[in-house]
Amino acid sequence: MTPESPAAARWLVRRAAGDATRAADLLADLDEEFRTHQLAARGPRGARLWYWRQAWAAVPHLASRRWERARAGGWAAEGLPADARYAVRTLGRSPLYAATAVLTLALGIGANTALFSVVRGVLLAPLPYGEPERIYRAWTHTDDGDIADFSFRVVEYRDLYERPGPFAAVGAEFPISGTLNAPDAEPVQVEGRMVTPGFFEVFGVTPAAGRTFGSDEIEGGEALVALVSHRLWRSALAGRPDAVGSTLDLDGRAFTVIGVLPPSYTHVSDPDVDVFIPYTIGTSRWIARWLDLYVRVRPGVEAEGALAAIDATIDRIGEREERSRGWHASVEPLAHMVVGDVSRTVWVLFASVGLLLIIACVNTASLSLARSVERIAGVRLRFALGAGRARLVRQIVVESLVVAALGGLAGLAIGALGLRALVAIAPPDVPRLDEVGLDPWVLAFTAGITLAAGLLSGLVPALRATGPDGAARLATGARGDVAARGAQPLLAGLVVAEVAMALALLVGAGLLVRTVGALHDTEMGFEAPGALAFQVSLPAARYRGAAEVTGFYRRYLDALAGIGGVTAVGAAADLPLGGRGAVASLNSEARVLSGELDRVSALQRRATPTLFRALGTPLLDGRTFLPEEDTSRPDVLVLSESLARALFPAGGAVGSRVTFRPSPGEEDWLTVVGVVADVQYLAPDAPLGFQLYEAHGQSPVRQMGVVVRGDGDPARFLAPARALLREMDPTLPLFGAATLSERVERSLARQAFAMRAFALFATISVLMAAAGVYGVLAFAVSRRRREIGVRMALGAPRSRVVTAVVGRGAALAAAGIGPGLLLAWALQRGMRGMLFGVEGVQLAVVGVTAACTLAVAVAAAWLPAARAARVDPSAALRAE
Amino acid sequence: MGAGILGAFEELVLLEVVRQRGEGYGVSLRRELSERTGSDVSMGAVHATLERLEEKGLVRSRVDRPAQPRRGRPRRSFTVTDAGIGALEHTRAVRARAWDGLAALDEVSPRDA
Repeated sequence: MTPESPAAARWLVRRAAGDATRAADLLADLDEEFRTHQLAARGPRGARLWYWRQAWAAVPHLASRRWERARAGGWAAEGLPADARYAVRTLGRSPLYAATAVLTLALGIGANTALFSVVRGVLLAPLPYGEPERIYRAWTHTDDGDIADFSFRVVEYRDLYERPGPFAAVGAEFPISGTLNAPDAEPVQVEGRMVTPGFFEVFGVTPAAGRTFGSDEIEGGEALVALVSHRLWRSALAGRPDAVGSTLDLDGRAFTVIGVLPPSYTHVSDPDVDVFIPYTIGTSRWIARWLDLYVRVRPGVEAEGALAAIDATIDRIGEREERSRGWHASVEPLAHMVVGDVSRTVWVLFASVGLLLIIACVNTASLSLARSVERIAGVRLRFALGAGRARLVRQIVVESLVVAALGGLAGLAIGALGLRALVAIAPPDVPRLDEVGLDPWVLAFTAGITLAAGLLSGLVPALRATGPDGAARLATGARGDVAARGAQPLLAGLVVAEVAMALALLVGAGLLVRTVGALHDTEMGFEAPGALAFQVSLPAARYRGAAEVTGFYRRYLDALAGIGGVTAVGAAADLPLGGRGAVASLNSEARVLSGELDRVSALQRRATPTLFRALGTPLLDGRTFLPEEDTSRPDVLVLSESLARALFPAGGAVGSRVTFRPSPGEEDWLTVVGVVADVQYLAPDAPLGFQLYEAHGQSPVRQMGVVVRGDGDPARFLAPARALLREMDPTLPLFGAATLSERVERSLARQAFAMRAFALFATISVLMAAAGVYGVLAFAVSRRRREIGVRMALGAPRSRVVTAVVGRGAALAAAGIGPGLLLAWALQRGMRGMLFGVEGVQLAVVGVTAACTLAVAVAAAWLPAARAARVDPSAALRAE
Repeated sequence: MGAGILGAFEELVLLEVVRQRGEGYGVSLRRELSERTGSDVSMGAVHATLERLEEKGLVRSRVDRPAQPRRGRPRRSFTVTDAGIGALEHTRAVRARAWDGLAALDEVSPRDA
């Protein structure tokens, strides 16, 4: 039988060639020479030796050719695809490692994808109006007032409209709401706006059908024409193509539809607005500040230019009209107006998932590092075959990139699901949520962070495993555990960093928990539990005069009081936590007489006599309104506690007189009859401010918020309230119903949402850090089996081994606490606008989170410790 | 490529390809080179050099049906191209100029250099 050429030498040639065809060609030639010549010339042994020499001698030539081919053909020619295939093969052989690494990165990438979609849709994407950066919202304020966002007077708007100066368009709006009645349908309350000429030009909107208002509809008398939103066209007009020209019954009056807005139009100040009617400035009845003003500047005009022009207009009008004297303007870019409130929260959440991704990368890097130390034999061989360091680094990085790519794909799926969940549970006042989605920008972002994650988690282990230490150890033939010992400090350092970041996120979550708790506990001036609130609106067409309006509400409230279980009923034009509403400025008689003419701004409320009892707001002095106090009686007022203190620092508010006018005549005085506690009308974390209450009987309002308080679950009063309303007038809708407790929850929704999101991210990061601790300790235990075996053979009890391992886990966690707290402090500063009632260092939060972190680390250390304790000393000694 | 001269081993391999008149392949080329140089030439070196020469267009290869089967691999034989001939002549001319005036090396002693 002909002796065969040595298989191992053939294997060597195949590995060195890297290319099956070239290897086969060379081996065919070598084998032919081996069989036809060398066997005869040298004998079997000599021929085999000759074959080995040829194989070894071929290695540098083959490697050199591979390098030349790779350089000539670009990296893609042989490098990257071959490395990628190799990576897939080796990953397939370690499914547990691959699954862990992919899942870890997928979680980090998925969270970032979801949050970036929110960042992009809510904060970064341009508003859906033409050139939105040229649009500003304008406000007015007085020097002394603490309210900075009053609206404009009609005469001020008109002047700006007629003399636009630096503005390409000027428009204003005034909120209205009314009942839409359709045959065979329940009456529905719709939100709308009265808009001035120029409004739609400011936003660059053209109707999808029909037209906007013409000058005759605006300059003339009351024009019963309306523009409707796309949404309303589909619902109330059934999406008819001939909707333009049809009529809508709003508050009992027939409005002709002259246009339908495009589906892309979202009203800037309220996405629920469905109807627009013209603000007939030809018959401007209001002299108060009612108009919300928007301007579009000409190209090249900045905010300062817009501000100067508006200020100049107000000054000019102030010269001839007292009501505009002493007022100034401010402007706000539209984007800031729309998203300003939420932007900090969104950015903080985005930063937190960024931390989460870094933790995920660190985890994967340490996994990869531990793995490359395990595979040192493979690294050694590749070095011997002439692979340069760059080549090996590339191979390991490519493996990381493959893991990252798989993690990125999985992360995209997780991100899509997470985004849907985020949008579903997001607080209702987050603007532009419907514009959030996985658009090309988000996909590009995901691809970018996937690439970064792959490089980040691959470079460090790659450089470490092939570095000068690695090469030197390989050259001297050192054992794997020497390399392992060198990797230990790096692994430990990575885990300490993970623990620090996880701790910071935990502290952030804790701060938000404290915030939500503080918000719940904060004094809001009313009793939330046990009361139901809803809105009722009377159309002007059927309830024309004061008597009809007040009479209706008196009868309705009396009927509600008769429902079983009801203990108090009241109504007001604005309810707590419902927003700013009307604002007025007033002064006391004493101050006017002494020359202190600066008026104080306060929220202006209209209330029925029993409102305070229904709200649970304490009456501190004097009395509430009397049922018989109507327009035939002298005007009375109730003040909130802090307003009374501001106007009457020495006390004695009850019985004193106040006025709204800067230069009051005798008929302009009102008498203060009572003082109540301050009530929170804005948001739980806002300062309480000043409030004044006018009697509804003396200053009737058609749309009122009704409050019903009683025993048991207040929601059960809703059905009887609706039934009673239908009995009194079936065309009236009852809308906006919620218990006062629900109103409070809704006002906290943003902080509660941030708290839940942070808690989720913090939990995931703590779990990842725990996995990191486990990984480091498991690796250390597995590399030191011999050492453990020796110790136990020499009499060390198992408990000492366990303590050593667990102690190391605790030490890793403890080392991370210091840097973690520093990071947490920085995070707290970044979260400033989101926190409430949380000042300075929160020792309780810090203490609890640090203890939790230590506990989790100890728990993570338990399994490797148990495994170390189970080491059989004799087996460990034999194995080496 | 025309301007460059051949490396020493490239020149030896190419000359051998010329000698074997298109019948030369790995085994035969290596054997003759080993004879001619007096050392056991590496088959890997021969293969690598033939690849380079082919990339530079100085030789051409074709696949033969083997006289006897050799592990299922067909034999690949090499022929010199016109460019290869040109390269050899250019290299010879350059070497001749380099050797010009140095009749025999042993006539030049280190003291004279």
